[in-house]
Amino acid sequence: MQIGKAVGAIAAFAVLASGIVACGSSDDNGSSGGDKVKVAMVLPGPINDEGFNQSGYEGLKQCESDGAEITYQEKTPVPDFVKSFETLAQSNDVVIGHGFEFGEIAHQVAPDYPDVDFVVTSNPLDPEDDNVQHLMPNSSQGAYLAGVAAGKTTTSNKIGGIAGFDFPVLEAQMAALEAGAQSVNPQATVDTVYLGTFDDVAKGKEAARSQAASGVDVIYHIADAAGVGVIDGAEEEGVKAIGWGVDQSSLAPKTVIASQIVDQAKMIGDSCQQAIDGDWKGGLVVDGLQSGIVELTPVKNAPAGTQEAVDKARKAVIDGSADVPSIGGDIPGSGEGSN
Amino acid sequence: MRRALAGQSEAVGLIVRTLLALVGAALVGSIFLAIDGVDLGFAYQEIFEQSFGSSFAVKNSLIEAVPITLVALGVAVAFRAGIFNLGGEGQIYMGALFAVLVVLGLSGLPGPVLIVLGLIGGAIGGGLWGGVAGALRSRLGLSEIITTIMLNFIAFWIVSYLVRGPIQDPDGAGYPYTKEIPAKADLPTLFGTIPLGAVLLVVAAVVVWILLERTKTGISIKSLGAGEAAGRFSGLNVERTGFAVLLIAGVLGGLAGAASLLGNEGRLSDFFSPGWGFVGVMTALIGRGTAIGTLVAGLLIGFLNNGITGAQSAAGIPTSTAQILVGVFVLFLIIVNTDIVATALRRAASSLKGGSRG
Repeated sequence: MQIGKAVGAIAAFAVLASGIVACGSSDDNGSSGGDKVKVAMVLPGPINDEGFNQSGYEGLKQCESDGAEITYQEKTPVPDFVKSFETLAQSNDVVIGHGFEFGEIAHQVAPDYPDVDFVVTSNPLDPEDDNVQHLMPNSSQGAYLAGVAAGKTTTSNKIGGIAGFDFPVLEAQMAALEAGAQSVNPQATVDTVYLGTFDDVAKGKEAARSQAASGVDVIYHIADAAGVGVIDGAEEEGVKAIGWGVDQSSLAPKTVIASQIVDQAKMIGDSCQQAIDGDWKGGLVVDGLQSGIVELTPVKNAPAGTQEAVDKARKAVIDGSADVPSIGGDIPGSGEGSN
Repeated sequence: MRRALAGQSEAVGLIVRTLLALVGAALVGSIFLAIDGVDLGFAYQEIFEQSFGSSFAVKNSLIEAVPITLVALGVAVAFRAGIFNLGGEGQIYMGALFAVLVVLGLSGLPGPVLIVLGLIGGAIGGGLWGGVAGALRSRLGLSEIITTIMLNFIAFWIVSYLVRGPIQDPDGAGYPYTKEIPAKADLPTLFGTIPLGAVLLVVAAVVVWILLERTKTGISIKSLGAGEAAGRFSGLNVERTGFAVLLIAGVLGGLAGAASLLGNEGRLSDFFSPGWGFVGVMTALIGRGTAIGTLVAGLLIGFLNNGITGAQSAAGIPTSTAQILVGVFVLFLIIVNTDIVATALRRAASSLKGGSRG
């Protein structure tokens, strides 16, 4: 009888749900529309975070303007990763996981869906499966340019770096920031803080204020939504800031001297274009300053000569004469100034 | 005969209440969906598809229900004793931690042995955490409401520290998680539809039912729930019972963590639980603190959750609206299961019956 209750309750829900369906629209599923390439994306955070997730979503929008039909699932909790990937693989041609952590999920799911192209962003490893592509923007190159701009701008020779977590990709960029700064200003040091969050705007603001109080006068962040707080805090304290991800100067036009652009969107759009053209291939794709995937926006609110120094550094990075710490190479111990 | 009839009307009452809640929630939910310009018929059809529509959907709904219901059973046992176990989250993390340590540490053993040891490890880890709250309550008289919440933080940060250091995956490019458990230790799926965790769930619910309804401990638990002073007066060992209750709740929470580790996530990270410990409190509330009620409530929430997340991308429901929708359903389920509403419905039903006869 007790089990009867359980079955009853479930049946009740089933009846109700089908009743609603019956009186709802009688349209077909709608998923059989034409022969457009169908692209789906799974994102760990919200698509409007002014940072990492937004750049992924913009990539998906590029797929749409390339002619693909798109769907996405945002704010996906970790326990739902496999499920979401598999669900989307059943009804799409391309499934994109936005973030390193999807590399392994793709490896788990890909063999069961050989006709689906799986794309994982921000993953520097070489994928094991033929139908998995890893996209890795060489963001350290942009961080190096940000460092050059910061090194030229600082008068206290103290630069702040605020990042969400101590992930290697982010540690590498902090190291590149310091290398860039010291290439134009040997006295410059970088004071790095890891917030432990990408979402907590108040925490980002607090970190920026306490860095400013300790004498830092240029603050660089890699903290997505929390980074908005970093820029806000810098503005209140009257110090300069460098944005990350997209051009963030509109957040505080007098405070932001430049933004490091990491155009994940273009990389994702390119991958979709390949899928549409039928020449998509699995493997590791690394790209940076050379093709504009990574860039630093034109400098403003900074001393004369800063832009010139950045342009010079850009050339040096592209021709290989500048030594940029990157995730694959040597990452100096964080926080240990080498001067 | 009379008993059977009473049972039957109880079951009918449960179905009526559940139906009422679902209809009410669907109506209110439709307002939010309509504001977002979502096609209502298509949205509800997709929610149904994604929760029940295929064996793949059913499997995922059950996977969703497993940790929620297991931890909720622990909350339910405590409810019956008048004890608030808000420590489900910590018990889940400790359970998952012990399970992952056991499975990775003994990875040479055969799969079935690893699974059993992993689950036992999870039960011990969670039990330890519940037991600490229990000991603090019975020895020092500390309120479990405070201690279980504090223990959540401690468990979370212990795991967070460990997955960033001592037990971090050396090949994980620095990401804060452990190595993945060997494939042989994954909980199997029966007939391609029923994850073993779901079987564990039913077994756990039956065990809790037996514990509450057919054992001396169950009588002690319920008399503690009826009032501590009265219990003490009638010779009940209040301290021991309170400790036992939190220990049992912890074991169930630990099993929830172990089951999700072995049956779904495969590794421990500090993003392991998206708040199941708290969803479990609501689930136990909906289930009115009974074993079977909690099982039904947990399954309902699992299917709803999975259906609504799945429908998000298919029907273009914004994530925030989807979360509101889940919240509305849960709220309605709680409302119809309050004593006031249940009694009112019973009265309405009997007056209806009387009216039709007269």
